Amino acid sequence: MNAGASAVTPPHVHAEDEVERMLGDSASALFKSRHQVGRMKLNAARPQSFDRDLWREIAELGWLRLRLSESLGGQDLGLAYAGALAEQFGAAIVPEPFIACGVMPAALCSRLPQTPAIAELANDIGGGRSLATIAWQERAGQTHTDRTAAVLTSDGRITGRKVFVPNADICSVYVVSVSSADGFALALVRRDAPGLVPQSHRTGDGTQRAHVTFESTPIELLLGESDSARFALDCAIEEGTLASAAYQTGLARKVHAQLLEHLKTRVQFDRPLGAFQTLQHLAADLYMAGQLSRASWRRAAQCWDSDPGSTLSRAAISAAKARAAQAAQRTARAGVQILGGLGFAEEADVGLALRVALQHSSWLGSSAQHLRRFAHLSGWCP
Amino acid sequence: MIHWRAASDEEFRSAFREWLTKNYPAEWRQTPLRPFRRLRGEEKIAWLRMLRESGWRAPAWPREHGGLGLSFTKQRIYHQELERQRASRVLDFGEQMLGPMVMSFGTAEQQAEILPRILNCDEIWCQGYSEPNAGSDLAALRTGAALAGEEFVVNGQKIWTTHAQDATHIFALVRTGQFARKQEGISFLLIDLRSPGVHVRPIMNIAGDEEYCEVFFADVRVPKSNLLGKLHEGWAIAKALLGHERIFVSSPAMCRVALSLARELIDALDLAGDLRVTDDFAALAADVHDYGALYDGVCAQADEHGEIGPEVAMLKVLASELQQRICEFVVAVSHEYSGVVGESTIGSLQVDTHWQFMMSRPLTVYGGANEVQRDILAKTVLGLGAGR
Repeated sequence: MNAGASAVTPPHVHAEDEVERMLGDSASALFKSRHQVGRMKLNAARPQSFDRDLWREIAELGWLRLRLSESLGGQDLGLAYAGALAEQFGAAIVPEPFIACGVMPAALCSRLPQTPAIAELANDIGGGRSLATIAWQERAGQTHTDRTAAVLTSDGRITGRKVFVPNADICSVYVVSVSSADGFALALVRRDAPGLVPQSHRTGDGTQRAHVTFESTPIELLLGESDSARFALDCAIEEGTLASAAYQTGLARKVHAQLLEHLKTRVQFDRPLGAFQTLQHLAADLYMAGQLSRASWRRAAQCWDSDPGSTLSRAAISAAKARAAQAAQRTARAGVQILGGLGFAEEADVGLALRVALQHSSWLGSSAQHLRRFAHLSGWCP
Repeated sequence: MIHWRAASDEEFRSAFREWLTKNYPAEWRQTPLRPFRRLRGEEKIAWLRMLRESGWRAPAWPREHGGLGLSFTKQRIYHQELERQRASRVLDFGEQMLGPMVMSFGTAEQQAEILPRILNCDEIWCQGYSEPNAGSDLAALRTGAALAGEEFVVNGQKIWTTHAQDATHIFALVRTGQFARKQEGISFLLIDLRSPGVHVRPIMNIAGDEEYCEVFFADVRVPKSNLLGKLHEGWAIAKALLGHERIFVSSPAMCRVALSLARELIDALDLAGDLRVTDDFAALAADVHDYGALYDGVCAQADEHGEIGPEVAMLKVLASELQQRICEFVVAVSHEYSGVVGESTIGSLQVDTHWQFMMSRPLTVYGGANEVQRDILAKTVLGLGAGR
C-alpha cells in the first residue's frame, strides 16, 4: 500500500502572522473607504471596474511590489502574503486587477534575467505607473504553455492570436508568449503598436478580457528566451492560480457572512430563518467548505514558498484552485436560493458574487482540469 | 521514565519510530483485507502492556499520573508514527476517556486506585452512555441508581456499548434523581462488570463483527465510593470531553488508508484507463489532501492556544463523511466483487470490499451523529438558533 508515496509530508500550516494581519487590516480599511460593489453591477448608473486613483493607492501601499524580488526593488514577500491580500480583494469583491496585473507580472519579472530593461519594467509595474498583462493563452481551457502558435520573426514582429487576455483594455503593455527561431520567447508589446487588434468581452466583475490579434506587430523588447522564459511564465501562471484560489475563498467568505446575516434577521413563520434546521445545516456545510478552501490555498502557498515550482507545490495549487472554485460557486448559488426573490435581483450583491465566482473558476483552469492535474502531480493517478 | 519535555520534537519522533520499527508485531498491522483494523481482547492488552513496560504508555496523561506528559505536538507525532507503521487502532476507554475524567473530578483515593490499574490493564473499561431510548438525546437516559445505605442499586439497560464483552468495568451515566431539567439528576458511576446482576450480550454489526453490546443491570450493587464527582452532577463530567485525544479520532490517516486501498483496486481491476473512475478518484484524493491541510491548521491552533474549540465538530463531520465516500467509491468500482460478502482475491490483492464499506457506515453515527455535529456548528460557530 504505497500508492501516492510521492505525496510526502507537506510543510506545517502556519497560523496568520503579524505581517499578514497588517496586510489584512490595511486592505479592509482601504476597501471600506474607497470601494463599493455598486460600480461593478449590471444596473450601475456609471459602471466602473478600474479606478486609477485606487490603483495608485494600492501601488503606494507596496502591494504591487509584494512578489517582486529584492533586486528589482520589490519586497520579495512569500506567495502566502499575496494570497492573504488576494483573499481580501475577494472578500470585498474588488475588481482592480491585483492578480492579473500585480501578482502575475511581478512573478514573471522576478524570474527573468535581471537586465536594466526588465528592472525598469518591474519598477513601472511595481510603482503603478504602467499596467501590464500577460497574453499567453491561445485556446479556451488551455493550461499548458507549450505549443505556442504566435510567431516572432527575426525582424522583431509578432503574428498570431491570443485569447482571454485579462484587462487588455486598460493595460499599456502586453507580455506576449511566442515561438521564435530559438524556440520559446517572451516579448513586450505596446498596446498602441501597429497591427494589434483587441476584441473585448465583459467579465463577471465588469473588467474586460480580450482576444487580441497581432499582425506583424513590432515588439518593444525581448524579455527572455527558451527554458528560463517558459519557467518565468509558468511561475506567473501558478502564482496567479493560487491567488485566484485565495480570491475565491474570500468571495465565499463574504457571501457566507451575508447569508448568515439574512438567516439571523429574516423572519418567516414567526421564526428567524436560522431557526430552521435545514438552513442551519446548509450554513454549516458552507462554513466547512470555506474552511477547507482556506486551508487548501494556505497549504499550497506555503508549499510554493518553501520550494517554488516543485511538483508537490503545483499539485497543492491545483487542489486549492479546484477547492476554492467549488466553495465560491456553491456558496454563491446557495446565496441566490436563500435570499429568495431578492437573490434573483441584481439589486442584491449575491448575483454579482456568483458572476465573479464564474469568472474566476473558469480562469486559469477549471475545477475538473485542476483535479486531474492534482491527481497526476501528486502521484495518486498515473 | 524518560522526560520528553527536554527532547526536541524530532528527537522524540525518531526515538518512538525506532522503537516501533523494532517492536511492533507485523501480524498486528492493518492490511488491504482489514484496512481499519482495531486490536481486541488479549492482543490489545498485550500491546498496551508492551507500551507500559517500554515507557510509551498514555502519551497525553501527565507524568504525575504515570503518563508521558507530552505536549500536543508530541502527542500528534506519537499518533503519526503509529499511523506510519499501519498499526492497528486501539480503543482504550480507560486511558482516553475515564483517566482524564478521574484526574479532573476524582478524589485523591480514586485517582490513586483507578489510574494505575488503567495503565497496567488490570481493569479494562468500557463506556456506558447510550440506552435504547437515549441516543443522540443522551440526557433522556433512564438506567436508575438508587442509594441504599452505602451502596447504589442499579437497574436498567445500556446499549451500543463498544467492546463491553472485552471489558472488566464500565463507567456509566445513571439516573439518581428527577429534576425539572433532565440533565440534572444524572450521576457518573463506576461499575464492576463482574458484579452479580450484570449481563453483557454482544450484538453483531452489519460488517459481521461483534463490536458492541447490550449491558443489562438487575439489582446490581455498587459501593457508594464508586461515584465519580458529585451526586446528580454527572452530566457536567460527561460533557467536559476532556483531553486532546478527541481531535486525533478525526486524523486524516484513516482516509489515506482507504484511499490507498482504492488506488490499489483501480490497478488490480485494470481501471486506470477509465476516465470516470480516475476523475472520481482524483476528486477524492484532492479531498483527502485538503482535509489534511485543514486538520493540520486546527492542530496548529490547538497547539498554540492549548485548547480545542467547536471546530472539532467540523473535523468529525468532514473526516467521517470523506471516509464514507472513499469506501463507497471502492464498492462502486469493484463490479461484482462488491456483492461478495467476505474475502476476494483480485489479482494479487486480497480484499474484503463488504467489510470496509460496512465499517465506514457508523462513522457518521457514533461519537455524536453528524446531524448533531452540524447543529453544534450552526449554533456555536455561526450563531444560528431560535432566538432573534
